[in-house]
Amino acid sequence: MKEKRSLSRKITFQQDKSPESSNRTEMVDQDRGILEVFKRCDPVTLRKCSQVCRNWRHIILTRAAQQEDQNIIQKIDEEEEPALRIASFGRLYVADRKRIILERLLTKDELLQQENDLLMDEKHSAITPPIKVRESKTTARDSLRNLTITPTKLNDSVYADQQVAAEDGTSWAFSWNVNQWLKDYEIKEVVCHNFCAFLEREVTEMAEPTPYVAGTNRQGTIPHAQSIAGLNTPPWSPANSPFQTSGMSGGQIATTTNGTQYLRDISTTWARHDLQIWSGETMEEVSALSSGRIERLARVLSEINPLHLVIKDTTRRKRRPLRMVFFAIKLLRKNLRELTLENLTGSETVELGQWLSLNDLERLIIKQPSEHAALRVDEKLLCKWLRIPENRRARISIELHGCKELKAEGLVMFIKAWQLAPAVCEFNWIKIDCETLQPVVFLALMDTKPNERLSAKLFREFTQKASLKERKVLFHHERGGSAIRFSTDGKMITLECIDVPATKTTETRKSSRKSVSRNRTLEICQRGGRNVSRKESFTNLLATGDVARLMKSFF
Amino acid sequence: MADGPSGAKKCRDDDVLFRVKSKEDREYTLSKKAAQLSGTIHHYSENYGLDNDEAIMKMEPMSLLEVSSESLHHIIRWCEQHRNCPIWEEEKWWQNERDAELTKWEDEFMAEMTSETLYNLFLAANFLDIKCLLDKCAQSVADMIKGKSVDEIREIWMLENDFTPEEEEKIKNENPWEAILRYQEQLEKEKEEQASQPAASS
Repeated sequence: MKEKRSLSRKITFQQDKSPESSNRTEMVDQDRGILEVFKRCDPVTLRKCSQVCRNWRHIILTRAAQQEDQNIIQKIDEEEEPALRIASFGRLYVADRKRIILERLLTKDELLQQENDLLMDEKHSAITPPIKVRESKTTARDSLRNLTITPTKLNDSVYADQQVAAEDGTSWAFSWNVNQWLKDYEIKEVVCHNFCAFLEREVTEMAEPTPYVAGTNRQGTIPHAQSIAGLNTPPWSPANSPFQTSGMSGGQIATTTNGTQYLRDISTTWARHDLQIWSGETMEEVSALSSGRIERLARVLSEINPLHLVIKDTTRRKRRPLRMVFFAIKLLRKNLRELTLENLTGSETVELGQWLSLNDLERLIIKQPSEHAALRVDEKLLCKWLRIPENRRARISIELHGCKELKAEGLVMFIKAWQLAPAVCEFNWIKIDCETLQPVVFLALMDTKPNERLSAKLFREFTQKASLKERKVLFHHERGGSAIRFSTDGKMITLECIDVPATKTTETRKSSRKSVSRNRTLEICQRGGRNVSRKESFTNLLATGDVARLMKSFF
Repeated sequence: MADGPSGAKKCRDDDVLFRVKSKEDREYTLSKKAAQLSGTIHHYSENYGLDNDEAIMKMEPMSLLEVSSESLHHIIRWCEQHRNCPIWEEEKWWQNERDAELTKWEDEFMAEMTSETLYNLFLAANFLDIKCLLDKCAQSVADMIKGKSVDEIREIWMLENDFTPEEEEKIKNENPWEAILRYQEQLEKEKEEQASQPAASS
């Protein structure tokens, strides 16, 4: 193994005739050499270099500070001495298919300028400045430099630049070149505002003038009532949702029997639907709708790694085919590590767990609108994450706002599935807003049947005397060593995956896992009165991803 | 070791040869003209009175304790190829328009280098103060680390992460301008403390 080196050491050369007469000459510090590399780096690389080790950070910041000093006295001649510029954080804002905007954090110069302007304004109009100005210790430096200005928020961004696609030819949509921006700004976040809104108009134009004729080409087979987007696979709109057909109302589980039936039905539908997702037919449809535009956008954004994609609707989308959103996500999947879906609306409702691959995803934020939500988010999304192969499953953080379909029962299902998973599936946290899922409802459910499927040892309340709102609950993994900690602060329910010391019981469990599985299977047989083979144990069902049987076994 | 790109220049019989020794104690020679590219050798010559051909011919080998045999071999190849270029003192001559063949040779030379060889060559060029080679190596290293993650950069340079987890988290999210400001403040503070120390002790 290679030995780690320190680049801060000094280089010396020695005349080795005799130690006494040696002329030990200290040469130019190696730091000078490293500085030569830094001078040739773009600001984004330089920023990364400043995070490598203390010595590099020292070199970069000292130099940048020196240059900043010179900059105030006189502008540096960049041709003679390339300045070390560290990248600011940037954010891309895809306003529509024509325009992309670069936003960045306020720089110090701008802050100083703003502060000056505001002070001037204040003199005239006595308005309180929106930025805080604190005076640091007085030094002999320029008085302006004694002011340290903190932006009102760390993530305050300002308009920096924009590109407008030239509308010449046919392939102008999303035709931008952001390479220079990516060199100057560390960009991770891309916000798509009213994504693919232009498709609303196009789909309408395609759908309305041509009457439905079975068996004709795509343009001719788009009856609005059947498919809003002109898609072969029908969307799960409230009208044709499988939740309706299986006796479910708004995705709620009415009774256990109905629930079982529902789960069986939905699972069958899903199994069929799963095969159709991104099948040749669907791909043809989305490709035709995209006409190379979404692919072009994906190419523009392909250099951003890691990528945090934010897809956000500000007005209601009625006709946009939502699968175009997922098509874009699919194309950007390679570098996508964080995803925010905010306020997505539409006439159709799609099952997020079905369409979204959670592989390698580190953060998922869903913010649902109060009505006309285009996404259906429930426990199946969480269970899907459990089934991801270990090498593709990142330690995820999930935040769910307004996901009405996720009920307390669903959350219990997920927790049980996690407890029984063959290996501990570590996650950072899952947060659910309390307005959608009240902690008291969840805790009441736990009070009534905490151990329906599990031994009491896997469930422990450690603040039983506390009020329901403040209670904390631990759900141990069957194998021990890890647990889910339930807590709430009144605004959000938080499930955290934590390490816990393995107890004797859990160790015993670990060693006799086979017999436990057998007992559990027997338990299922007795309760259900059916002959269930050992292969259908929870663990096996989870591993095989048989959603229908897995869900069924919860009831 | 490979002789490198085709058409490489070598010492001629009538050259006055400068003797150098690597840290592995292997002796090498390079022509006086090629040696003029190195600021370190130039200073050494001044210190030891190697200002005429006769003195150079009689010299003891100059020991380069920080330079490996492999790096020294590459450095001599580079210097011989650039023997007709301006000497070490002349700044940035390589940025001017120059021989296309030489540029091609340089590109081929750099293409031969592995990341470790390049790293060592870069350190050796810095030590020997060969500005044109340092520039080329620095550019190659900069190209190499471009688009790499922080961990990958550490791997290329074989560096250890000596930040604490808290520092690391803070650095990741900081605004660079604020970082520079904080750093300036810290430097000022240190300066003030240093200034006040002798006063206090006196």
